[in-house]
Amino acid sequence: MYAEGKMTAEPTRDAGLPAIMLLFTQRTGALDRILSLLRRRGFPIVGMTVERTHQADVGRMTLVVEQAKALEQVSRHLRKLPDVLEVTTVDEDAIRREYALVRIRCRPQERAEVMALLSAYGARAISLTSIYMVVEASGLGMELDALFAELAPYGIEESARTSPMALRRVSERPEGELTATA
Amino acid sequence: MAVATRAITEPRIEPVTLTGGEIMCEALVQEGVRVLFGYPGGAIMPFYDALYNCPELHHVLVRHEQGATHAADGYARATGKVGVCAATSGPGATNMVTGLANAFMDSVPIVAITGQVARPAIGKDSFQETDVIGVTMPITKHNILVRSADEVGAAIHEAFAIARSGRPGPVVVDVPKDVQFERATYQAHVHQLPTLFPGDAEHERLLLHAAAMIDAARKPLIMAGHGVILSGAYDALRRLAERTGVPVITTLLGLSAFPESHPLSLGMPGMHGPASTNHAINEADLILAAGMRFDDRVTGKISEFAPNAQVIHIDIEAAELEKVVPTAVPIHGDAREMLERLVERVCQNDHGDWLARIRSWEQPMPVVRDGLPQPVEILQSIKRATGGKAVLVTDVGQHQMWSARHYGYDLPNSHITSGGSGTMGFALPAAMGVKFGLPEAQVWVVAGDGGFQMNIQELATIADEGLEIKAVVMNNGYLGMVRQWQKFFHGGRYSATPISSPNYILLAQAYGLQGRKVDRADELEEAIDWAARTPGCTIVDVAIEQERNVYPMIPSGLSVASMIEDPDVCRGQDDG
Repeated sequence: MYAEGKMTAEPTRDAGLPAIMLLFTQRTGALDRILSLLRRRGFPIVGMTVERTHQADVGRMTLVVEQAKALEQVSRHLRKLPDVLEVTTVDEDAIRREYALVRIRCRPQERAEVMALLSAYGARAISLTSIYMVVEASGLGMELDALFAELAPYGIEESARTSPMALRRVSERPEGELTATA
Repeated sequence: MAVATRAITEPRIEPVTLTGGEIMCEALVQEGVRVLFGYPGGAIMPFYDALYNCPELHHVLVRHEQGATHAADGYARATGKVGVCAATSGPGATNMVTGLANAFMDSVPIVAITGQVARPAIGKDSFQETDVIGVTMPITKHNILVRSADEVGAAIHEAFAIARSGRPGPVVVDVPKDVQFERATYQAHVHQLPTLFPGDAEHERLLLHAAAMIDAARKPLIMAGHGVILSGAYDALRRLAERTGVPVITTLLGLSAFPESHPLSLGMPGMHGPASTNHAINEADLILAAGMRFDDRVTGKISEFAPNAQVIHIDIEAAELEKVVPTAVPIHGDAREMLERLVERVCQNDHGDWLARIRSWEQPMPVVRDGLPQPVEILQSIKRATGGKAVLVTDVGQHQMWSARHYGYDLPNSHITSGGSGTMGFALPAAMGVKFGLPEAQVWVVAGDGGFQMNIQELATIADEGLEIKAVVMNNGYLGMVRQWQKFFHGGRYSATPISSPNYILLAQAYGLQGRKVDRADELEEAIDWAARTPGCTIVDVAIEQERNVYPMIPSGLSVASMIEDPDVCRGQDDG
């Protein structure tokens, strides 16, 4: 049903691109300030996710840049913003994950085949109708690329996919938790 | 509200219940503010109402909000304290935009308080509503929209802390009108931001590396910028230069960081710097840059800037390091502390041969005798009349470059000008702030006939406040610097650069001030002396030659090799 060759689809451009994690004070205008700075200084941002954390007043972003040499200048400028609490580079040790929702055409007789495919990718069907299936998947960029390639022959109707978010495996912050001050 | 920040706050006084407007006043008083420059309007009226009962704060009513920002800017530059200005919402706030951008470019700490329409009216295109946070975001260090009266005090203390911390800059606090009416508990805070410098050991490693490079260099230069003045590193800079024998270049905003009469002083670099200084940069094998940011007016074409030099760069802002030029030793730290520590780590040295080589490239000032007052003579007259004690506030254009080149600043922080932003109309209102900050100083405005007319309305403020400010207009009937570019780069087509002036004597009289006009060289000295000894504000309108150019000039984006030299300077000088 699908060509074997598509299993080795090219990874997306940002699969392993240099990235920055940043924590910011979750208040009005903080996101605005960060985005405005990136635009103003002409930094080549090719991917971005905005995330919540376990602390209500601390927001988080993962920014993907095109070239590693931009990392240092981007980080230094971001640190100038009073709302920015911490900026760190995503090194090889950090975990990166993208998240995707995909609606494909999938007739009942194709379900078993698609389900098997999904389980190979750790993905799952979260909505089923007689015509459609909505797939939820997460993983490295290259894994999602491959999954998309495998789903394509069924007919991808609509998809939403985040740029990666990242998390360190171990704490690098000496003082541990960020403390909220009155 | 608990908010995660990098800051530390400590309570200072017992809590009191006040209106938002009263909290604004009380917080300013707690921050040590004694003067603010502003203009009232609908959305800031509760604050002005509270100001009515606040004798600690002297409010100066400017005639345009741009004047308020420049005055706050001048106050901050002169004193090192945070300058304060206030305006209403909408047009009041947008009139401040130029002044905020100017302060941002030149790292000047000001807090601008703006009224905003009441909370329920925000986002409804209400009367005099402007998204001031959105408008000022790229031209301020930070800005804060205050959401409730209990946030007012913290917002103002945070604004002051951000404005003065690290590399200083402007901060806007936007307060909706109903927040100014609302009552809340206020407790004064000391708001402190942590310094984020690398550790002491890292500094030590970098400084030792830098010291070794300075000791080994054969053709070293120091380039000192505004950061030296902001951090008060005059003494450290001088000791370092004298100990190592390294000549000192001062950028436009670094002028007066190092005495220009000092044998090691080389003056200003870049587009309008003396040829000898630019040749020195071209040949230098080491540049120690302190508190400066390699502006394009300094470097010209980056790939040809200081082609033989390794760079040591000290700056309080990490983002400035390696932003423009490749840097061998980037040092993220305060200029004063780093220079003081560097002095202890360098060897006594002498670079007499190198200095003599630079001096040999110096060209004599051409002497022009056309009967008209010469720009250089105007500056020398001011220096003589004030015993070299004047604080010069200059505007933007040809007179600014002449003042930068030929006044000879010896007194620390005696040169105030609009650098990065190049804001015409800066000098007159900025001088008001300088005078409030330094009431004993002899404050002289030197401006062109274009810039002087851009915020000329502030003569009324100066008259009201009885400020002893001496203004000298170098009047050539042109927007001279633009005309010069038209001459050099646009075939001499003087498009929209001829400009008329009012009769400045009558204008001065209209404001209750006094003026003089100088048309001949032999009248100059007496007129400047008259201005110096006449009480109150005076205006001296000096007619200078209409088409005089500022030389030398390195055209924008080019290098010292493309320098346009004064045709009147005698030719045929040896290049080595």
